Amino acid sequence: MTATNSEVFTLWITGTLLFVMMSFFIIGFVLQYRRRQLLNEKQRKERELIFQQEMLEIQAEIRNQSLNYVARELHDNIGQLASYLKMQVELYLRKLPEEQASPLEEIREQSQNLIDQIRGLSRGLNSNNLARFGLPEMLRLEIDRFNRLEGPKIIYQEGFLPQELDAEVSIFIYRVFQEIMNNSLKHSGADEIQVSIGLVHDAINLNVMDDGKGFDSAELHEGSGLMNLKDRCELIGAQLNIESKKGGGATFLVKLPI
Amino acid sequence: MPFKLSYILDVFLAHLTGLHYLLFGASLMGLTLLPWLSKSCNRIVPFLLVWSLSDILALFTAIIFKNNSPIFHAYSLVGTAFILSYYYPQLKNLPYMRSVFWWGMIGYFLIWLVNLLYFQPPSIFPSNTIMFSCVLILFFVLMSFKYMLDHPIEESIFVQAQFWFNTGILIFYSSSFLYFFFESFLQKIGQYPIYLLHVIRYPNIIWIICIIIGMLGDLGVLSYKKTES
Repeated sequence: MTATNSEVFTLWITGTLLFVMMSFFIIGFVLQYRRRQLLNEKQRKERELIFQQEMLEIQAEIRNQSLNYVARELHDNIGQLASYLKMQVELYLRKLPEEQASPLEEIREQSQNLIDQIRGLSRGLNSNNLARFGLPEMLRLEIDRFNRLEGPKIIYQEGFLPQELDAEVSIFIYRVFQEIMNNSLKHSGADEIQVSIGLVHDAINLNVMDDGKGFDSAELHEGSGLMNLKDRCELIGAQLNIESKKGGGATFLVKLPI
Repeated sequence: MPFKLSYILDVFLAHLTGLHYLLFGASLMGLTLLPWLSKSCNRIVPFLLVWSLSDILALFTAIIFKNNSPIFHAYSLVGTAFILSYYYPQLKNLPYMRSVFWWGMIGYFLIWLVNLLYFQPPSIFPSNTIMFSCVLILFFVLMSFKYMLDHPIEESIFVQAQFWFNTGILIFYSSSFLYFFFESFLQKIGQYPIYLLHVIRYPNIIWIICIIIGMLGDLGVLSYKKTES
């Protein structure tokens, strides 16, 4: 190889090296970019999840406060009006001869019934009562209230529940229970609803089973009340399993790890 | 006879290479697609036009005056300004980058002027200024790559025009730098290897192909959607 050829050869080598280096640079860039894209995607999803959780908490808080407000209004306002009505009826009853009192007796009884219903509903809606009475007692009271309504018979079984449950957990379980019960009472057409609650393997299990007309659980679509409830459960780390088929009743199982 | 228009055109057409056709094709493509290209992508089109125009003028002046170096003197300044103006909107918000752009451009102009007056007059090819322009442009390309890494978007990198432009510019300008860095050395070699003159064409072709791919990517031609079975 002559000197000239060797110099040209050196140039070719230099050029080739440059291209190899550039290739490595570009491949390295593409890989690094992909890594950053994935990282970004992960962070974006985390941010979305946090945002959804915060929104959920805000929604739950607003809902809770609204229900508490309605409960107070029921108790302090409508309940008082019902009590006044009953007192007025009793006043007239005292003035009327016994033979004419019968229709008013009926009104008095219905007024008492109305007052009881308002008190029960007010107590059920007010989550502050959870702190006062505890979750098991509130569930029992709510079951009693449902049983007093003209509707399916509700059988309640209570397993072991921790004495000191976190307030947020209690409120969550209680509201989910109310939502599932309202759903069953409204739509299932059941004759009997079995409710059980208890601690199983570090998770609170709430089971609601009805013998109503059922539905195809595979046909539940996004945006429906039950799917929203399911999403809300998942966002706080709980699980809601819904099993149902047409004509075969429905079973709702909520598992909330504590 | 040598200045007869038909003669000039004949010689001009005879000297047009595949590279020229590729460049004119890319420019035509850029002009045609201008309304559909994104704002960040269509900034490359003026540069393509300047490049095409300078190549046409370089061919004509080579035919008529037997020397096209003055065109390259002008192109080394205008082309650099157009490339920098391509990167300016993307990088201007980075710290100090506005100052770097303006001082870089002013500094480059001074180097260009000094080189023109004292080292490589208009009759000599401006390899010195082209080398400086390569360094300046490579700096902004690397900054652009860094910017892309710091601001990744969901879209695949392979359909982003910016990636293809940067890749093409990186390949072409680093090759050009190396080429002109060794040019004086090459001239000194007794038998000037004529094929080395053509070496720089290949990065040039790669760059134009990268620009075309970038424009196609920007139009969404290269992206695909997964079909659900």
